Amino acid sequence: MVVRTVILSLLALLISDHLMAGASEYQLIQPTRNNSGAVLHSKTGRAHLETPGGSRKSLALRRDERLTTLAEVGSGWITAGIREKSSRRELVLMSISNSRVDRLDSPAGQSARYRLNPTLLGNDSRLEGLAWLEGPDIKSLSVRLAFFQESSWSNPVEVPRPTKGSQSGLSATLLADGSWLLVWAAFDGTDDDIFYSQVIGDLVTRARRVTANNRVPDVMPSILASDSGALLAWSQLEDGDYRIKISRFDGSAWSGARTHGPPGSLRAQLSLQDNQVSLVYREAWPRSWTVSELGLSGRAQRRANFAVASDDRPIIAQSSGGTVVLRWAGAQPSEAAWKSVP
Amino acid sequence: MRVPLLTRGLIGVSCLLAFFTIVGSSLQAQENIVAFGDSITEGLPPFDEDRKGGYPGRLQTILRSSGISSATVLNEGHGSETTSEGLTRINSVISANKAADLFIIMEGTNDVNLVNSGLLSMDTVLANLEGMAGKVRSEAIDVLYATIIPRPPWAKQDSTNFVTFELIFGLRELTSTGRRDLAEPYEILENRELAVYKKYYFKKDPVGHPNSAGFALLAEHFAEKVLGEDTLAPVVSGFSKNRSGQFLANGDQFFALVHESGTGIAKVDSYFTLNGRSIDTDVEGTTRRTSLSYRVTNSDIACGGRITVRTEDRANPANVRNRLVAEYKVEGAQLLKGDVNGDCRVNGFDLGLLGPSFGSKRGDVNYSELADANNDDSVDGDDLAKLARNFGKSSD
Repeated sequence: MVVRTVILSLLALLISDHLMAGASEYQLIQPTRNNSGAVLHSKTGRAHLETPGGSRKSLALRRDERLTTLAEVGSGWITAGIREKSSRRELVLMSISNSRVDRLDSPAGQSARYRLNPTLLGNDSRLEGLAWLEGPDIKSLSVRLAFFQESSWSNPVEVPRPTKGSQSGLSATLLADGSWLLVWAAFDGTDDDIFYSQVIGDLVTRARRVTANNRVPDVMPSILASDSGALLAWSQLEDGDYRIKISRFDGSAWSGARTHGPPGSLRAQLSLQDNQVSLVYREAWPRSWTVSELGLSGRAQRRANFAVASDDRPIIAQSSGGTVVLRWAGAQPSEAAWKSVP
Repeated sequence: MRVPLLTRGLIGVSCLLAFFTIVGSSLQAQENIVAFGDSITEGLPPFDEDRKGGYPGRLQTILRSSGISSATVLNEGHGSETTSEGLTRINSVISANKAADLFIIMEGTNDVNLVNSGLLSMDTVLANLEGMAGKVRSEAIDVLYATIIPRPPWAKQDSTNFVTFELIFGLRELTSTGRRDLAEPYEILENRELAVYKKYYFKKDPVGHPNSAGFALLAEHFAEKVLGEDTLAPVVSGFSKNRSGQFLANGDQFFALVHESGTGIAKVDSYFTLNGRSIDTDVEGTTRRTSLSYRVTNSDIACGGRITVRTEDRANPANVRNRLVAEYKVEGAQLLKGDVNGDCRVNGFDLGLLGPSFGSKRGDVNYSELADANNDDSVDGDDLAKLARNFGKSSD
């Protein structure tokens, strides 16, 4: 009986890792750009960094901390996440080099209960800043940002909320001209739409719409600097199912949205490796993951589908010649052939 | 007898059930139910230690033993699914089950993790649920929404249920108008008592899946909804005081919001109590959504403020709940153990208030949190002893 209970408990822990998203399992996280091959393995209370050289650096976390993003800056990395303390959410930041791991202070002045969704802004050599969501409750979040100057944070700046409702899904990138481009979803009383703001020096532009006031949810954007502009991918409800949309920012305006995935395509994430922009997304049913290589305009050039039901977002482990390899936490990598997109 | 808000099909079944119960014949009604959701609906082992198909399998058994011999409950739970994904999967489930009478939709637990991380808004989660229900209804199939279950204290994310409750509240608001119906798994499991979670949740599961006892409890609740029975008192969805701080003062105002998905709120029998006595509460709203308010007067102020919301529905017998929503101090005063009515004295009046609750446990109609001096979910000799120890004493 005892043995049975122990076995059932172990099974539960194993199975539950695959039943619900983000609750306990390791997530693999890569920098979305400037990535030389580092992979963050993260779950609540535990994390380690797999360096490009293959070594493993343990990161000491409290039981209530969870790392959610990684940036490669200079010869090291910065990682950020959330500490969930009862009803309060705080930011967690760490600096990792080959020789040491240090905790960084988070920007001062958290008076509200929630700080969520940290987004690191770094260039090839250093961390430039941090953007996040902050507010007294989950429905009253707004975008905040702080500049990292001489090893300390500037006072946080708030991007005024364009709508009274929830702000969510913050994503940010550094453009080639050094400005920051922030995108997120904001609920306008009817549905979520995608908004953006640019940070040019100390100037933070007011939030403006990327998507029209279309009365259907536009959610979970992912932005990535590309060439002289940026590509944006997100999910929009269209005829009853979510579909990936892609739009290009040329420095001043957005192109019309291009439909990318099939009905039920979700959780878009853009990344840049070896000067190639890739898009990874989930297909809801039948469950699978798809990776696409995109051209400068955001048009898909090649695509590969992986019939892997895992809820964990995969990372691109390798792309060479005619195949691409995706990797999931706790599972063998999977290889698939690229297929040209007409 | 509740008036079912469900379905033409279910109304038919309820009438048939009543008829056949009266004439003593076996019931031959057809009932096709689809249980749609995530891993909580899927109910796989090892969480379901008894391997009875989670709540859908047990619901089918209950319905059949209740006389609906041909009842079928199809398990369409799919682990780790979010509402955005469910919105697509439900297309094929509807196509394959166009003869269904009812879809039970219980989904959103996995979305809570996304909302809790700031990645998705709860507004979109609710829009997704509405989208699913719309697709089902477009095939003339009825929908029973269900609140998701609360997270246990050991859950890795949102263990305080702050974010989860945003979804619960949204669903209650969504279903408080129109003809939508709502089952309340959250309410029947939400207790904030570790013992309850230990009883109904799979041990140490960091996600918070029910165990066999939990699946059985869910099945019983869904069966009551399907059969048109109402055993749940109106639920308190929110309480606030206009002035922040822990002290109670003259002129303070309380507000509470009450939702009901069964027979309806008995408004005249729903009110605040302050220190064990009912107070003249302003009650406004419908029988499905009622707001309560009260302004504190000088005569209310004694040694402490223990406020409950007493809710009652129109079922026969009525379902009653007296829920402690707040405790306030009065500046400079101390509330003694056993001072059940907060009048600064422990005397016969307190004994009189404790008496009707003696022997009760949390969940019993006569249970009173005010009399439960040691907060152990039962009113017993220990509470009486605490009162006796202080009998005759006054706070000053």
